[in-house]
Order: sequence, then C-alpha cells, then structure tokens
Amino acid sequence: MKPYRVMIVEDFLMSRQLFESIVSEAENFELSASFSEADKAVDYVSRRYVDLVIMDIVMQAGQSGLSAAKRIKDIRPETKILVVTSMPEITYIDKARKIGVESFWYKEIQKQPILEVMQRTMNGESIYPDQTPVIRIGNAVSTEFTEKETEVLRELTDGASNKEIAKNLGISERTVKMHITNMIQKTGFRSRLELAVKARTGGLVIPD
Amino acid sequence: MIYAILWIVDFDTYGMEGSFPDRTGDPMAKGRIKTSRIFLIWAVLTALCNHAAYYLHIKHVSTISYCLLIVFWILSLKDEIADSYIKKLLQSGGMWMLSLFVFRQIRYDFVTPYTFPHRLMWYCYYLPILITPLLSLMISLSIDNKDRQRTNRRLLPLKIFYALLMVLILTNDLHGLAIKIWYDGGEEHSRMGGLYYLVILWYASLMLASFVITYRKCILSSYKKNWKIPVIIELIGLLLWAWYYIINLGSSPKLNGYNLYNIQEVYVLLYIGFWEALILVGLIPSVSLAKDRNWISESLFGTVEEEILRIRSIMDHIRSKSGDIFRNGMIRIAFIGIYIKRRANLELITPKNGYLSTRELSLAIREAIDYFDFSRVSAGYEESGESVEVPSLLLSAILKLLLNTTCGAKSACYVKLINSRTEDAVSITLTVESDMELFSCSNGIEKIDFPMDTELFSLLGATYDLYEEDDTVKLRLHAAYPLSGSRRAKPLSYHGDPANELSRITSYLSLEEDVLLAKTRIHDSLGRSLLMTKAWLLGSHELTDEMILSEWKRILARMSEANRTETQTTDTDHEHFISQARNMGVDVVISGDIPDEECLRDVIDSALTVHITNILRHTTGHTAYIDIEATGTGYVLIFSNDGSRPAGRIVEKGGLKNLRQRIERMGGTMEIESTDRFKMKLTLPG
Repeated sequence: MKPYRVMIVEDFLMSRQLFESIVSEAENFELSASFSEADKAVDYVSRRYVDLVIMDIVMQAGQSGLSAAKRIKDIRPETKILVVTSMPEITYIDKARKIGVESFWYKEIQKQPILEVMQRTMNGESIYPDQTPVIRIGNAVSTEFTEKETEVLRELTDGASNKEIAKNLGISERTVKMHITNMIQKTGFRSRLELAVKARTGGLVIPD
Repeated sequence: MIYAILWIVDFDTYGMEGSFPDRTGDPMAKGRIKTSRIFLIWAVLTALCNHAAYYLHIKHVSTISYCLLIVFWILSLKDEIADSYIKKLLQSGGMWMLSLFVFRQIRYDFVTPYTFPHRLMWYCYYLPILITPLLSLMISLSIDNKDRQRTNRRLLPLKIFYALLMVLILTNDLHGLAIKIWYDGGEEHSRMGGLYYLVILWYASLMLASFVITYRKCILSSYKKNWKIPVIIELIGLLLWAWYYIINLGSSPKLNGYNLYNIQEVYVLLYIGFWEALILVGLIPSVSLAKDRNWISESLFGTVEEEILRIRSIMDHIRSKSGDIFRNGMIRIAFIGIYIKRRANLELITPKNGYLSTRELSLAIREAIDYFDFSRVSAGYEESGESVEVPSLLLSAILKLLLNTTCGAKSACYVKLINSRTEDAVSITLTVESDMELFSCSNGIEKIDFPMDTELFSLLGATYDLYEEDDTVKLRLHAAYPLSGSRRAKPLSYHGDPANELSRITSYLSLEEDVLLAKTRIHDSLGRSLLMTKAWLLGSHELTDEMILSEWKRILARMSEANRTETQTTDTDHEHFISQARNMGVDVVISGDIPDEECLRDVIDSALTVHITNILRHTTGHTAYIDIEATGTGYVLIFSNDGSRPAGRIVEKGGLKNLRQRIERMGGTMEIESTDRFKMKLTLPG
C-alpha cells in the first residue's frame, strides 16, 4: 500500500521539524511538503493532492490555521485535516468541527501520540479531545467561567467597550459590567484590561 | 589666478554630490557651491581685467578686485559658520588679509618713498603674515571645544609673544634680520634675511598644526577622505611663495612681461583658500555641512537627550532609596534604556531611503514586554499581517509614544500592530490600551504630561485617535504610504521648514562609518546594561544595588562622550566588561592576544557582547570561549560556549545582524555554526 502523503503546516521550527521527523520515520506516511505559512500550504494543495494535512492553528503574522483548513476543505474535500495547537482557546474545537476537520490534537497535553492520531484519522476515525485543557487564569481556572462570562471575555479581548459587548451579545451594558466584575473577582485581577490581557496571553481566548 | 588654482583641483568633484550624503534640495549646501563659483568667476574676471589694465595702463584693478573678493568672503561666512567665535576668528583673518593689500597700496601710492611711513607700511606686511597662522591655530583648537576659556588661557603665552613680536616689528630694527632694505642710486633694494625664512617656516608649521587638529576633530570619514584638497592648496601656495622668493629672488614671475601673481595674493591663497577648502570639504563645521554631523549627532543623542535626562533624574531620585522604590526606578530606567537602544538600532539599520520594516518595531516591543513582568504590569503584544516598510521616523515616534504610554500603566497594557499591504500602498494600524490616566501619567517615579506629538505624527502622515473608555485609555494610530510600482516610494519630502528638516533627517539617517561605530557601541553598551539589570531584577546574588546604579552611571557618561572621535575600546573597558559578565554568571576565557588595532578591538568588543548576551538568553552555558589566532593576513576569532545548542535555527537579528554588517563592511567574514554547539567564526583583516 502506498504511504499516505502528508503536508505539515507549522510556523514554529522545532515543532515542524519534530512532525517532519515523525512522518519521515513512519512506515505508512511520507512527507509531501512542509510549510511555515498557511497561504503557501493552501496554494500547494490547490496544485497537488495530499492525503493528510497537519495544520497548526495559531501562526505568525496572525495567520489562522482554521481559515486555511476551511480553504483546503473547499479545494480538496477529500483531504483529511488534523489540526494541532497548544492554545487552550475554548472555541477551537467547535470551529474545527464546523469546518469539517477530521481530528484535533493538543500538542503538549493530549495523551495519545500524534502518530496514533494520524493513523486513526486515516482509518476514518475522528479524534477530538473530550474537553479543552483547564488553564489557570489568575486565582481562577478556566472552567470556573460560565458560558456567558466566556462570551463576554471573548468580546473583551477583542478590544470591545462595554457598550459594544452589550450590543454584540444582545444584553444590557449593566449585565456586561456585572460579568466583568465577576470575572475580576474570581481571578483577582486589578482591572478589566488586565483580565483581557491575561486571557489573551494565556491562550484562553484568542480573537479571530 | 589663485581661484583658478582652486578650480584646477576641482572643487565640484569633491563637492556636495561626491563625498557628502545626498543633499539634493539642501539650500544651504547649494548656497556654498554658489559662493565658490562666484569666487572662481571673479578670479577669472580679475585676471582678464588685469590683463586689460596692463595694456590700458590702469592701475589697482587687481588690488581692488582682491579686496572686494576678500570682503565678499568675509561676508559669506556670516550665514555659513554657525559658531560665532570661529566665525569671528575666520573673519578677522580675512580682515588681516585685506589689510595686507591696503598696506601695500598705501606704501606704493600714498606715502613718500624712502620715508619712515614708507618703511612702516612695509613692516606692516609682517603683521598679517604673523597673525593669520595664529588665528588658524585658534580656529582649529576652538572646533568642538567646550572649554575655550581654558584653551585661550593656555595660548596666552603665545599671544603675548606675538604681541611683543608685532611691537618689535613695527618699532625696532630687529626686522632688519628679516628683510634688509637699503637704498642705492635712488632705488630701493631689499634682501630676505634668515629671520624671514624662519617666519615662513613658523607660518607653515602653524598652518600644518591647524590642519592636523581640524582633521582629527572631524568625526565623519566621508569628509576626512577629502583631506588632500586643503593640503594641496597650502602646498601650491608654498610653492608659489618659493618661486617668488627663492627662484625669482623676491619678484613676481612673469609671462610675456605680465605678472603671473603678486606675493600678497599668495598669502590670500594660503589663508582664505585654505579655510575655504576646509569649509567646502566639510572638515570645519559649517552650517550647511556640519548640519549632517549635527543632525547625526542629534539623531543619536539629541533626540534621546530628553530620555537621558530622565534616566539621570530617576537615578537621582532613587539613589538613597531601597526596596520597591529603588526597584521600580530601575525598571523604569530599563524601559527608557530599551527605548534608547532600540532607537539607536533603528538608526543603525535605516537604509538611505529612510524606510524600515515594522518587524524592528515588533522586536523593540517584545523586548520591553519582558520588563513589564518585573513591574507587575500585565502586558501583551499582538501583530498581524506581514511586516511592511514605513518611515523609520514613524517607528521611532511610535517607540517614544509607547515608552510614555507605559509610564502610567497601573495593571495592564496591550499593544496590537496590524500590517497591511495592497498593490498600491502599505499601512499600519497601531492600537494601544493602557489603564493609565489620560494626558498625564505618574508612577511614583516619573510624571509625564502626555500630549500627543501632533505635529510630528501629522508630518509623518499618521492619524490617531486618543480617548478614554471604561477606565482604559485607548489609542489608535493609522498611517499609510504609497508604493510606486515595484519600487519603494521616494523618501518623504515635505514643504515648509519643519518638513525640510524632517526630510533632511530621513535622508541623513544612513550609515556613516564613524557614526555606525558610535551607534553600535551605544547599542552594545546598553544591551549589556539591560542584561545586567534583568539579572539583578531576577535576583542575582552577585549584583548589588550599587553595582547596578554605577553601571548606568557609566553608560550615561559613555553616551555623553560617544559623539567624540575617540571611539576606541580601552583595556579598562574590556576588563570591566569581563568582570560584569562574571557577575552575570558567565566566565570569559580568552586564548590568544587581542589585536592592538583600534578598529579591531571595537569589533571584538561588540562580538563579545553579542556572544555573552546570546549565552545568557538562549543557552544554559556559563563559560564563553574566545580563541584568537593571528594569521598572515589578519585574525581569526572563534566564539563558543559550554552551553546547549540553541533550539531552532539561528536567526540573525539585532546584535548578530549589526555585527555581521560591521564585519562585512571592514572586509571580514562571519560564519555561524550550530550543529553540536554554537560556534561563531570571525575572520578580520589585519
């Protein structure tokens, strides 16, 4: 049986080299291409067929692996995609599912080795983690936030004002302030800006 | 004829377009070229008029013409020489040259021959010959001299000697040892005595000394390489003098009965020709040319002078303090140090067109983010889009803005940079959020009024919006620049005085060898100090509060001195640096002898800085090894360490990038390996 052709899209050199090494040493996989930029990967796929794409989500210069994954799915629906990330951003899993990404792997956290996830993906399985990693944010952990608080937090990290958050989420400004105050109290942060900065730098929320 | 000689040595070739930075559009520079061309045309007209006058028996044409030329030169210095003291000295030398013509004319036309006034006028010829070299020496000693009073005090014995000599010349027969005058058959005869030749030797010596001092004080190599021009002028003058006195025994050389030149004209060449040449080639600070030096010097220190003063002020404030106050003060100093270092780096690498990648701004911001943790301010930075090229002045202005914005951040600060490129234009949008007070920030260490530098940003084509919302100060700045086809747009050019200055700065922020050296040293020195500060903030037991304070004191003193010509690294600097490296936990082991050549020592100093910085940042090493080997053609230096191989491919940026540029400029090579261990091999020419 011919080995599966794999394309790697990862901007961090060490990770990319690691993936390349894993693919090259695997018997039933062969490295077709390796890119640090999502656009070049999409262009490659438009010209050549690959069986599996290992795609990082957050890349330099704001490139989004999920956007690239969607474009690849549009061009080559039959190509399977395995997204990888170290960011615990809670919406990634849902977004990946919606795009039709076959599998999802957390780089440092997931117990299954990536080679196993790759093989199972090519066998037709869809491997997704049960939950996003739990991360500490200030004095709280990410699971302590309610769904609404997380939505408000996402808007906050996007730089929206209380008024804008209220409008975007269809709630009152007073409610927005209440959610923010709650999150500040849970985390022990000193301001809404600190809450937003920590959520973003901690990878809990990553704006599109 | 004299200015025809100036033309022969081709002022235009060595003028504005050749050696100096591109000064297209600089009205002052064009003004000086015009002056020199007027001199030339005047000289030609004088020669023609002289010729006509000779045949038409019209007297004094040459004298009048030269006198007018001298007056014109004196007046032309008014707007050319910014330093009023130097200007006065030059102009007074011009006046003495004028007096030489006046004395001669009075002697020949207005006093009775063989009388005392007749002789007295002849004696008066000595005065300009004696005084102008003294004035020349005073001019050269006054350039870039902050303590002129002390210099003048030191010259006092020489001035007293001159005064006595002038009195003796005018009143005593001592002058007979210089020129022996006698009368025979109703005719006056003269013969040069030994003292005359001694005076001329003295003249030549002082002029040579003036030249050497002026040359050494110039910091720009592109000007210094034109040193031959004033030297040639002086040599021609001395040759003409020798032809007059030694070959022609005291009379003018003739061609078809026509005097080629008169001796007083030779002295005009020796003084005015000499100094005009020095002004035109840039060896003497003139408004048009030293503005380069001034602006470069300003661009290095003048525009960060405010920040240097802030560091001093903070140091004074925390000197006797301890605990959090001292710590917060050092953190603040580190922020300002990053700004100065990054600012110097921006200027180091800005190409001639004045545009630079926003990646450089990113590097600066990321470096600053490290220090936020120490100050317990949560900071974040985000960038999207591929880096684009924008005016480096804009990047400098943004850096300053960010420096001031961080001053008052109470708990958090976030910076986002969006780069955008279309077919026709590039743009950047910078968003800053900080929980500081709007328009004024105070962190217990500094209080800064925070007005936006509206004029600057406006000149740079940037728009901004600054407001407060939900207890957060938000700034949004946007700038867009057109692209012309596949090439970079022309450098910014504006109309109006402030814009001309901006355009000038943009054009002149290009690499000049000596300035590159000065800026590199500042960048490296600050880099070391920042590393030390970081180690101290991290709790290094080997670094005390006093050591950190004295390190910054040393750097500030260095920055104040770094625009001088002495740029060599001394042994004391090396020892100090090695000692500081040990304090930071890195032993330095050097095998082989460090070269004696100044320029090589400087490069090695920079390489050492980069090497130790990278050990501290990227490896687990504790020992830096430097192996130096002298080869037949130069030196080979190998830098390595006992640490782990750095993760990932080595990307040359910041210090490594600067180092490579510097080494390649001097004709050397730099190779980096990182297979098992990091190894940097430098090959330097001897």
